[in-house]
Amino acid sequence: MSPRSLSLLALHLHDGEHALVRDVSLTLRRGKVLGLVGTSGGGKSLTTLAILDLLPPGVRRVAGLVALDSEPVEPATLRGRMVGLVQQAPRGGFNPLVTIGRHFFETFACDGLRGAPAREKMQALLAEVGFERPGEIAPLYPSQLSGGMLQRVMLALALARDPFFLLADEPTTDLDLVVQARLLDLLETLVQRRGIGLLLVTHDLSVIARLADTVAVMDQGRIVELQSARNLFEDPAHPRAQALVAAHRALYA
Amino acid sequence: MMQLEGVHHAYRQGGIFSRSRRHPVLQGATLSIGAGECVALLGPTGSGKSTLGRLVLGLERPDAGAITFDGAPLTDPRGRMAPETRRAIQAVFQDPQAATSPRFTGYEVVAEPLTVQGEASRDRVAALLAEVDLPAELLDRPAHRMSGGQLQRLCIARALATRPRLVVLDEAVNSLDLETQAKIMALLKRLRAQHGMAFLFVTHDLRLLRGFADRSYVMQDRRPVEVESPFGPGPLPPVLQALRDAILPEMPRPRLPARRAVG
Amino acid sequence: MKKYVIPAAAGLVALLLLAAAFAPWIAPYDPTLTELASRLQPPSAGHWLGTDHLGRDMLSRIIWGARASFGAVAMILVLVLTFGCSVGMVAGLAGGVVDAVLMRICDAFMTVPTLVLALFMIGALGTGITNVVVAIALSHWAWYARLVRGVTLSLRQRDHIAAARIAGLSRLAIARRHLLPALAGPLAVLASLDLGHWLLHVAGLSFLGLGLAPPAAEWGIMINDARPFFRSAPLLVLLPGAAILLTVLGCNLLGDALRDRLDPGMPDHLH
Repeated sequence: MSPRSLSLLALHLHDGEHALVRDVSLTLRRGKVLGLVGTSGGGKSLTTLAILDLLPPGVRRVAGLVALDSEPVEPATLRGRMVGLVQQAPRGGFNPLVTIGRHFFETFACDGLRGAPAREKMQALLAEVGFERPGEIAPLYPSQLSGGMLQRVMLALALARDPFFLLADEPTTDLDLVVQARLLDLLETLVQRRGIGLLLVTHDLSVIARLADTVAVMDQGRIVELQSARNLFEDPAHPRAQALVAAHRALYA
Repeated sequence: MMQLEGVHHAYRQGGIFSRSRRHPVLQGATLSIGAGECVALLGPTGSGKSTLGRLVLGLERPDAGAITFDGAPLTDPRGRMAPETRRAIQAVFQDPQAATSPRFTGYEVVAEPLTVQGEASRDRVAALLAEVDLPAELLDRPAHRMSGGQLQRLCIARALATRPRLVVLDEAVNSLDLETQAKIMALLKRLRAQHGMAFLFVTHDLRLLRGFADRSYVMQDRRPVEVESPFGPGPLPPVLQALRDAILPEMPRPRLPARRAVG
Repeated sequence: MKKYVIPAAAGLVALLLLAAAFAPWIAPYDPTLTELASRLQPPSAGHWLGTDHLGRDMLSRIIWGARASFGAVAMILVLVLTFGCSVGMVAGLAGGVVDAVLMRICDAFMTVPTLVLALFMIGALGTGITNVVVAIALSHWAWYARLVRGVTLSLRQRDHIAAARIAGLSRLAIARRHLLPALAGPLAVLASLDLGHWLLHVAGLSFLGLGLAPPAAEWGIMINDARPFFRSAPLLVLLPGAAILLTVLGCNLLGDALRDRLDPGMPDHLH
C-alpha cells in the first residue's frame, strides 16, 4: 500500500493544566511541501513530534488523531517505515561512540536487511544526499563530520526505510547559508524524485519561499493562517503572519 | 583604533604522544577597525572568521603578526591585557544560552564585568537593562528561565556595562528567529548611534549587512579581503559570490507544474 | 519502595554524623574507661548495649567509633577534593603538555591498589591513622582529578567562560564563579559513593592493627578486640559490625539517590 496523504486532526497538547497546542490540523500530500512557520516556543516542534508520538515527558496529547488517507492510525507505528524525521542540531541525534556505518546498519536491521545488501543500500543513500565517496563516510565517527555533513547523514538515515513522508524540524537552522542552500536543493530533489510529502518546520521565511507549496502559520499553539506560499507572501491576512512577512521583507529591502 | 597586521594563527591537533599537526586557520590576515566604525566580516562556517574575532578580543594570541589597539600591542608578551583595554573591547556571542551561566540571575550576568572593579550595583544594572529594553524584574530571574531573545539582550547589556569602544558581534543574531533578529538589529543600530562605539560584525548572512555595515571584509583563503560594495556588480571574491548565490529568494517562485506522478 | 529507602538512608547517615559530631556530649561514659568489675555485661539500664571485656560501655564506644570513622573519612575527603580539584582544574585549564603530564600521573596513581599502598606506607613510616588516611587519599584522588578535568574541559569551550574572561575576571575568579558551582554536583555524587568504601578501608586497616591503635574506640579495633569472646558475647562483634554495615549501606544508598538526581553525564543545562 502506498498512502497519498498524512493528516493530523484536531491536535491538542497539554502540559499539566496548560494548553501548549490547540486544535491543530494539518495535511501532508505526497510530492508536496507544507511549511510550518512561527516564532520559537509557538508549538511547531511539539506538533511535529506529536505526529510520531515522540512527545517529551510532561506533555500530553489530550485530543487529536493521525490519519493516513483519512484512515486513523497509531502514531508510533509510523516511525521510520512510513514517516522519517530530521531534527535541528544534528550532533545530538547521533551516538558519539558509534560509526556512521553502524547507525545505518542498526536502522536497516529493523527490516531485517543485513550484510552486502545493507552496505549497498547505505552507499546508495549516502550518494543520494550528496556524498561523492560514500565508502569513506561510513567508518567515521560523528565527531569527525561537520554540522552540514551530519545533517545530510541524518537525512540519509531518515530515508533508510524508504518513508513516504518526511518531517524536517528546522533542518538548516545551525548551518551557514551556503550549506543551507545545498541542503534545500537536496530536499527539493527528494520531494520530486521520491514523491515524498515534506513537512518543513522553520522560523525562516526565506526557507519557505525556497521550497514550500503551502504554509501554515502558528502562533501560541494555534494555526492562525493556512494558505498557498504565494498568497502568504503577497497578502498575509493574520497580524502575526503580517509581522513575520514584514520582518522577512525587511532583510531584502 | 584596532589593527591586525599579517596575523597567522593555527590550531594544534593531537597530544604529546601522537604526532601533532598544525591546522592553519589564518594566514597573513590584515584588517583595521576605525573608531566608531561598523566593520562586517563575512564568511562561511570554518573560514576562520570567529578565530579572528577571538584574536581581536585577546582570548587567543596570534602565532605571528601584530595586533595593536590605539597603536599599542593588544596584549603584553604573556598574553595579558591592560585593564582599560580589557574594558574597551567587549563581545556578544552567537548562542546566548551558552554565553550565560545557567546558574546566574539576570543581575549576576550583567554585573559580571562590573564586579572586577567593584562598581556593580542594582541601580547601575537596572539602567543597563533599560537600555536594552528589558524590564527590571529580570534582575532576579535565573538565566535559564529566559527566552533566547531576552538572553541575547542581557548579553548585549553585559557588553555595554563597561562602556566599550569596540564590540565584537560574533554571529550575534544568527541563532534568533526572524522577528527577534530584526529587533536586536534595530537595538544594535540605536546603541551605536547613542554611544558611537565600533562594531566588528561577524556573520555568514550577507542580508544583515545592508544599512548596517560601513565597510565589509570577506574571508577568502584564510585572510580577510576588503570588498567595496558586497551587493554591487563588480568582480567579487569567489567566497563572497558563493555567499551571494546562497541567499534564498525573497518571494516564492512559480513552481513547475510538471511533477512526477505520485503512486 | 524508593520513597522510604532514601529518607531512611538520609536519616541514618544524619544520625551517625550527629553522633560523631557530638560524641563527647552524648556518650554516657568515657569510651576508654575500664571497669573490670562490670566486664562482659549484657545490655541493661546502666549500659544500654552492655560492656566489653574490659568493662567499657559499648554504646559510648560505638558513638566514639562513629567519630573516629567519620573523622578519618572527612580527612580523606578534604585531601582528595583539594588535590583532585586543583590537579583537574590546572590540567583542564592549562591543556597541552601540562595536561598530558598530569593525566599520565593520574593514570599511574589509578593503578595503585589502596591496600598495597597502605601496607607499603605503614611498612615504611610505621602504623598510624595518618598514614592510613594519606594512603587512601593517594590511591583515590586521581579519579577526582579526572572528573574535574573532564567537566572543566567541556565548560572551557562554552562561551560563558569566554565572556567571563572578556569581563576581566582572573583565572581564580572564573574557577570560583563558573567552574566550582558546575563541579559541585558531580563531585558530590562521586564522593558519596566513595564514602562507604573509605570507611571500610579505615575499619579494615584498624582491624588489622595498622590504623588507629587500642585503646581508641574504633569499629575495626572493637571487632578485633572482641574476637576471643565471639562465642560468649557475640554482641561485642555484632554491634560494631552492624554499625559498619549500616553506615556503608546508608552512604551508598544516598550516593545512588544523589546520582539519580544529578547524573554527571547529563548536559549542564538540564541540571
